[in-house]
Amino acid sequence: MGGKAKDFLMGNKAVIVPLLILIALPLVQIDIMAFILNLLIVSFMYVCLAQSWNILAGFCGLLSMGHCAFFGLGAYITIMVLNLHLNIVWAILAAAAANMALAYIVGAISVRVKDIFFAMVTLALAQLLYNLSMQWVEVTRGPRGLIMPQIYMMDRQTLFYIALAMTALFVFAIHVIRESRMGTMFVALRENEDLAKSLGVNVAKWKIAASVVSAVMASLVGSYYVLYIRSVQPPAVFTFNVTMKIMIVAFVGGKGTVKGPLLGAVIIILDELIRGWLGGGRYSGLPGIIYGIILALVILFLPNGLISIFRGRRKAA
Amino acid sequence: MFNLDFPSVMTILINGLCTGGVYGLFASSFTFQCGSLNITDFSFGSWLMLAMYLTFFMYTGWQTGIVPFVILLFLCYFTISFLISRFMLSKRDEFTNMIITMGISLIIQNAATLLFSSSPRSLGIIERTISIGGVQIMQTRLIMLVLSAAILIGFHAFLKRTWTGKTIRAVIQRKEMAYLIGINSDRVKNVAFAVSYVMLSASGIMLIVLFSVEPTIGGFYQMMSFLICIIGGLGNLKGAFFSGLLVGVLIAVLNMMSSQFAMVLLFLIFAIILVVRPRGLFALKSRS
Repeated sequence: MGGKAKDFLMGNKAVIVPLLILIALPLVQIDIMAFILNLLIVSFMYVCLAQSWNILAGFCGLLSMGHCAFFGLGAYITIMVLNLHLNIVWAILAAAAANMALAYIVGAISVRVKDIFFAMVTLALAQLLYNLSMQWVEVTRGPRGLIMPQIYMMDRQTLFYIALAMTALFVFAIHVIRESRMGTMFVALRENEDLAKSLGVNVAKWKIAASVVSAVMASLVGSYYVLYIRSVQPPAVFTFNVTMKIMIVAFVGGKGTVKGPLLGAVIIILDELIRGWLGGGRYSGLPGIIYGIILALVILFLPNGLISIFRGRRKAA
Repeated sequence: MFNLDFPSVMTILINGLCTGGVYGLFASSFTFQCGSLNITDFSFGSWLMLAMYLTFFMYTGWQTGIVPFVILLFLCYFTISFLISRFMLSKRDEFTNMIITMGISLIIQNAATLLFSSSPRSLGIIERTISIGGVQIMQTRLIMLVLSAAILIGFHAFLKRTWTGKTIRAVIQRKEMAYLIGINSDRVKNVAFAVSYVMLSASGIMLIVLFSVEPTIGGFYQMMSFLICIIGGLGNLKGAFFSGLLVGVLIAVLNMMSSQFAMVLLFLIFAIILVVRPRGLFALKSRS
């Protein structure tokens, strides 16, 4: 594993400098540092979610349109266990376990239901969880949401390092998966499922594996979300807007690539910046409009995502 | 069931059926885009929401009269969607189209928040009821059901009888072949997309009569049209209309049984139907 990490870093020397800058960043003492850290944390979360979505949709070709279900379930289970005043580790494990169960179902469904139909099933599942969290007031407190006990609070610097570590881990994990036999199987399923089947690939096994890996990753981000935001409400985690944002990050960066979602973080930073600049008050809709226009323009002119800029230059050279 | 007598159960069922008619109309329009034109349109719900808002303002403020307004709205929707299809959606793959329409959806939704504020609005029409043997039928809803059915029959006739309709069907079946015999396939596809938007705006006008509107409501209708059109079999207009009716009744029944978990049960049923019959209840024989 260590050797692989070293190879990965050596193969991508360009990563090292930004990584060091990010590690050193919280040590700088300036006024807007809190703002910058929050910005980075949010974009890290979306990068991680996009990576998780990337496994299912980008590598495996299973277009999941209910990815917020994994994320939201992770967040809800985590906060429920934390409210029992257990250790954080138990909360994270419980969330991951619940997500594995859900992912097993989703994976089993994906064997039977293909393409756009699979997208619809996941959409229905996410909507089901949204309505459940809204209506099952006895457990979830409905639209008011749940609040994390004070004792689990962390300071922003620690949270930033956790997010950074999580992102690094995810990118590395995706890289390893992509290079491994598992990743090859995933891409084989995406490219031609019937052919893969005829060559003796156990389609059901690998599809379930993909959705479980993806769901556990999303669940970890969900747990992190709880630690960071300290509360959770249904509209913040279970709505289609969350899934849409995840998909946008992956698409804008470059779907089906390891480094794509990292670039896609740009769009989240942009979104947060515009919202910070213009948001609230009279112009509450304006940031969304600008965001939408930028999104449409990026996709119109770079259909393969931002990563195609770099690819194109390399080809030309 | 639940101490309800026969007339009141029938009342609920029939009114659910009538509401389902409008669901069926917009779902048919969506299934036409998604199944026949292969454009998965994520801005569908937002355009529906916009049509609802415009009708609301026509009724409360502008006083233009219903007929000129409807004609104007149809023309606007036709032109705008034609332009969107021509300059943004044609000749791109399905994924790219999805993200572009998501961008459009974001723009419309946020523009609505900016211009109309996020508080819900409704026309607040008090519906007159017709009573037949104790069964109360809401008049407006019945008219909506008849109108939706009429529009769909009209659209069907348009596809079957008129020259444009025939070319649209030719392009849907064999795009390259239609091109070879002298049909401008791309333009026909754009026109077909625009026609589906006219149907969409018609269902928007009807929805505001029955329900309230807010900027985020588009997401709900988007979801409903997705699911209804899949249950009805992708690309099957008749199937979408009938499964719209089915969903209308289903929502009414579920609300009667447990208003708290009605939506949860609805989406559970959706998921189960999709798993058991992945191609929908009224699936077409084959789709190549």
